[in-house]
Amino acid sequence: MTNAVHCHQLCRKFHQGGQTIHGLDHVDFDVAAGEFICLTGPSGSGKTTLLNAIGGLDRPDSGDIAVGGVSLNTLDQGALADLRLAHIGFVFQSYNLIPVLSARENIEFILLMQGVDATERHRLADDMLREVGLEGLGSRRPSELSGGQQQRVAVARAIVSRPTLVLADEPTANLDSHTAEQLMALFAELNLRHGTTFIVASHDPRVQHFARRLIRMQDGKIIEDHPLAHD
Amino acid sequence: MSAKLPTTHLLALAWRNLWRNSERSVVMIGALAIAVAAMLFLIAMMRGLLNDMSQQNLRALPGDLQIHQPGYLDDPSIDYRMPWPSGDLLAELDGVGVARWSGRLSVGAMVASEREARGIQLIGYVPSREGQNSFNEWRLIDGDWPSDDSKGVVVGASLLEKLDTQLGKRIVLTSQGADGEIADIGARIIGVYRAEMAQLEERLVYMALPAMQSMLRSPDDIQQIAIFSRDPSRLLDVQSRFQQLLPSADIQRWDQLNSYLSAMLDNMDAIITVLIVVMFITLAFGLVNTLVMAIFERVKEIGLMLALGLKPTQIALMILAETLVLLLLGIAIGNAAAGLALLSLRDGIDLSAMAEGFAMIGAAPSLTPQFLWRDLWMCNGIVSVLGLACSLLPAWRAAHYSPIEALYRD
Repeated sequence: MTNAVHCHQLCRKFHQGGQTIHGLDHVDFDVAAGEFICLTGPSGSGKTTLLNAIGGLDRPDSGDIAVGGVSLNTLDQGALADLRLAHIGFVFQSYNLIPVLSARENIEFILLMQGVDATERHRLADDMLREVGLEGLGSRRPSELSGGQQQRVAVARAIVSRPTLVLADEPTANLDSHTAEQLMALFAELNLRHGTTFIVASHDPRVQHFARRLIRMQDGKIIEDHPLAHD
Repeated sequence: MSAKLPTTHLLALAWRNLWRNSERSVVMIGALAIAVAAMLFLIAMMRGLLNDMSQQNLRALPGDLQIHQPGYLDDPSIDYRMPWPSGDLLAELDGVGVARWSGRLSVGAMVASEREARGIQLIGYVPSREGQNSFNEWRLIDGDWPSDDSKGVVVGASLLEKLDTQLGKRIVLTSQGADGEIADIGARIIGVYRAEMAQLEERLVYMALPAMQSMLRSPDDIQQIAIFSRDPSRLLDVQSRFQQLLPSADIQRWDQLNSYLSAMLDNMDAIITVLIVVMFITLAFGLVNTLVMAIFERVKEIGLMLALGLKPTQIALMILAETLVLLLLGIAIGNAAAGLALLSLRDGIDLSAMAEGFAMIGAAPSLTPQFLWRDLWMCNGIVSVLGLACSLLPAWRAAHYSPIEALYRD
């Protein structure tokens, strides 16, 4: 069976102030389809770098990376964009919404690019707004929403098209505990019901509560990788 | 799966992006509108001026095609004369390609009143044959134009003033007769005309052809056959037919006779194109700056769109769409402003305070702007194409951002 993600000897270096920083240092790991992984570790440990590499946003200096059996090394920017659009949902550390679009339009943007017709787009966006607790706020622009509300819109945008892989970077960072719980429950439901693979980078213990595998990183290396048992 | 961004959404996104920094966009649209309006207005004024110059010049001695004896154009004396048309020439002149024709005499002469004498151009013509758009449509301010058998002369108001004489008085006209001797005649002033240009009023004196033939002792002779074609676009064919019929005659079209005017008319489109391009270049710096700033402020957002799956070409299209919306708004407002300005000046601008200057370039002291739809399309087309060309570099830069660098840029 093809892995959702396959990483082999991934290396990524950054140069900062004359120093070389190992963002990723010979990272090896596989993710089976339908897994729910919590990627944790201190700040600067390489979590975001790994998510960006898996999402094809950044190219590793060496090593192989494949998503859904497709090697990213061989794809150009256009093909990577196609892959992201078809298979990957992103939740970024900062909310990263398009400021001139309303909350609903931000959610619909992915569906629009996928060529989904208007009626279906509106229906899916309204459902998504309801699921993330933003019913009635769809017409508001990002500047008219709180940080937590913006993060929920970003999450809704990431999952509205039912991607096979969701890469989330600190999705609960700006949410109150109740909303964070709701959001993670939504992720878990999508994971269970649709087999969506989740890789969530987070310090939040609530994420670990929903995840079924924990990967801990430090200095660009995976130092811990084990299943999580829940009662 | 390849990202789709329908044109309507692309334009809607462009529209919203345009109003993010409304002050900057308003300034840029305003600058575009003013430039487009100024271009259209200036072009219409130039066309009006040129049109007026051509009207004035062609009215002085009109004819789409003119037949002379070889040498006449270099030395317009009575030595270069020909008989009134007959036979095959007359048949051709009365043929289908010719709307009307006329025979004329035109020689240099001296005119003298009791007090003053001046050098003039004396023109003998057949009033009943001249028709419309000729000198006899100039405003007669006193007396009458001559009839075919009249013996009197019609002079310009300026000449009348210079000669210090008046309507009804006799003047003496002197020139060289067909026999090479001095030919003179005393003639009464029967009419005074007012031309748009004082220099024409001072130079051109008109009389009926038979009277002038009699004065020059050259009955039945003329120096010029003026032909008005039925279809000006077939003038070359008409010219060629007459040239075959009169191989030794000097047959020239109006644009050959007035090559300066013809060159001006021929080069008008080129002049207008250069004018538009030069004016646009001054605008282009502002436009490129606006676009670069608009992109620079949105690097993160462009990175996000790339990350979400929009292709670099679509990012470039999005920037081009913004430019297009900006240009269309500027052009539309500019067109409306120019339209209103030209409409308000449709009856002409009185420039009599600068009459002398205008007379020097052969134009009337009243300027009526001439609007042509093709000038509008040309101006709008050039501004659109150059505007989009200006946005290619910013669009290319935006399309080539690395998503990760763009997303995490401060």
